[in-house]
Amino acid sequence: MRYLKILEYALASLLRRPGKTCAILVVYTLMIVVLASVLFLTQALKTEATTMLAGGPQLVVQKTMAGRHELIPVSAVEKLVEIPGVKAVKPRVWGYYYDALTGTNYTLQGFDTLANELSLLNGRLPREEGECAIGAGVARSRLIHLQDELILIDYDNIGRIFTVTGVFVSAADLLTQDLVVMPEGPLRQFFGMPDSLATDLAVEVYNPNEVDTIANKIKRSLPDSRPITQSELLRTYHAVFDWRGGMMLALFSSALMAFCILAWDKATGLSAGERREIGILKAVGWDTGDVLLLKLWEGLALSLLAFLSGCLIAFILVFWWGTPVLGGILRGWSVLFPALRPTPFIDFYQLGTLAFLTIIPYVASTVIPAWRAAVTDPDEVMRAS
Amino acid sequence: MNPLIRTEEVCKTYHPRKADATQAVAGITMQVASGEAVVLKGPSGSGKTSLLSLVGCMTRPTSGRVIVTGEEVSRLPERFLTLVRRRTFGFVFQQYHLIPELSVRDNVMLPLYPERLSANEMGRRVAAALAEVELTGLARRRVTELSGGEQQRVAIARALVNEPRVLIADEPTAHLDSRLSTVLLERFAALKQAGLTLVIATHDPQVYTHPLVDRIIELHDGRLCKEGGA
Amino acid sequence: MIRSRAYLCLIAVLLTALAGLTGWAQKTSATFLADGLPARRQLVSVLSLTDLALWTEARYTRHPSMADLFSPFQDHPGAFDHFPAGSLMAPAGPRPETTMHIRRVAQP
Repeated sequence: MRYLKILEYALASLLRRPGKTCAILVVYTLMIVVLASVLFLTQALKTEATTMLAGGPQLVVQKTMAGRHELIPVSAVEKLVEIPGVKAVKPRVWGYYYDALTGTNYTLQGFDTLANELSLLNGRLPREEGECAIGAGVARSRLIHLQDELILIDYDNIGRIFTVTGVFVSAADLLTQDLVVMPEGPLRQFFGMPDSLATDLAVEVYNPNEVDTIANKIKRSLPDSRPITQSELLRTYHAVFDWRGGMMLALFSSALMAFCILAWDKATGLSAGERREIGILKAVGWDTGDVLLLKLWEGLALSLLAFLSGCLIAFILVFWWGTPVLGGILRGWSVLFPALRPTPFIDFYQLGTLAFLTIIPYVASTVIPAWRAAVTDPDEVMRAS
Repeated sequence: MNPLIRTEEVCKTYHPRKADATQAVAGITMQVASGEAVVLKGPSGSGKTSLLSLVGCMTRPTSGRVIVTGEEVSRLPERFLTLVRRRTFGFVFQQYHLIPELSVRDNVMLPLYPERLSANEMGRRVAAALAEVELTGLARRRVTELSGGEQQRVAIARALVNEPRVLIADEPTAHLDSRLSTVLLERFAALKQAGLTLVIATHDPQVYTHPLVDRIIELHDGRLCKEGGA
Repeated sequence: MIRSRAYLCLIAVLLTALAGLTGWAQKTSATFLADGLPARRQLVSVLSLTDLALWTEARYTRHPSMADLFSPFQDHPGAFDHFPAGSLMAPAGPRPETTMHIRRVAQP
């Protein structure tokens, strides 16, 4: 009851300075919105990336030569298949294409024509030369649709015409937006890549627990190769979206710095008015504990409101409105942008950390300066005024 | 008769051990009986306000003892001292010390927040205190919109809302003209009639010559120089 | 006690809204894992994809896991020329799980 009554007074006290209270609330909420959006977005993308990409190759073997990534001879397949534990080895053919017309980078990906149809593809996979399937981003940038023609310039500067037999649905944009998919043979011809070479090798193993051992064996049998295991690949994505990494940290530190300045400003100067008020409260019979409870409520009332509404706004921005501002920062300056509608995976531990890192300092910066005024005799505080 | 308040050789020095140390009260022994109206008289700087602070448990004496309702309060821990202050005394300050941005009602309610009272009981007590000073109609107004006399009545209502045994007033007529002073003293007389003990610090003749005053204690330079009936 | 009730109601409303959204998120993500994920895994496995098509401005942002960070004079992902995606992409760092023991071959 006493807590509620002091909350009542704390709210009355906050409402006495509506301008200041609103300003703090807006800044505070904005900070929470930015931080929570980054958390929500990166966590969602991270989870989505790692769950989806777990379906990819268990091991990729690249060749290096003279300190550079090189095409790998297909003959290496035989060497690798002999390694015990290896189930299958598949040469992968893929590469990049710069489209001068739209200033866009495409990824050209070859595939095994024996593959089944895909549920995320409108139309069908290409089967022969002169056919391709494209990502929704490519279709958007070139203004083409199913059964239209896509003209690409090959290695010999000859324009090649491909019929679009399939367009990936935009729900799969995160994986496919810049893809141009065609069978392996035609892609080799397009790149001018000899049949004896491949971009890299995808290795399938019987027992996923043995991947590291097998990678070691591959490294022994092909000393100039670089095996990349799936766990390394997934860890890369963890690192990319890690909230302690890169942009996140930059954003976080600057927002936190601004917030610290605000808190410092509050902490160092208890205004004469506030000091006098504490004196009056003590004179009319408030305990030091009551005064501190009042200040605690003042801080907590504001931070709880800011934190909850900030999280709410961030949630709506990220998962419903497709991250209007932050998305731009995250996606960079490339020409193709996937629609950022991540699946809402939420990490409560991170939210808890965010709450801890914002609410506690703010409340402390409200309570601690009041302490000094609250422990002195009321008549001394009032004499000063 | 057992006195309600007693001080024994009480001293108060502000900023001790510093260059600007000032002894405001220098060994005063006095007492106030229940139901009495006592005036502390003296020129400004004579230690009236400091003595009021000591008597009202607003501060602790540097030496000597302050005894309220038979209990020595000068050595009590802060929480109990606050409790004694809240339950026994009501204060009317010279500057009123109201919180300007709050309404009359919220200002009067201030002493009730730390008490274990229901919202209804709080409302009832505030209404009663406001009725006592005839301010019921202004309850929702901000105190800054009120005249000086009205502000003082708010301060009196705040002092009375906790149903104290002693009303302490510091220069209550300092900001009032003689007509309003007369009204105020009538109000004090009525309160005394109702059983309240009054301790008033003043140098206004209109106050200490008023018939409600039982005893005058004269102070000079923090010392008691004369004590006697009105 | 009107203000504290109103405030606590507001907090309760916000908490309920957040709880509702969280529930929606749990449901949506569960649906994704149950229905959406198999189709995406099939896509990844058929095309043997290794990376997200999230940044298309540079090789190491398009395929961060395949990037040849080992090569000398490779652009550093923290370089400003690929700001801001480049600066989001903290370098994963050389943390190979595969290690190599090098031995000198005995002379015959």
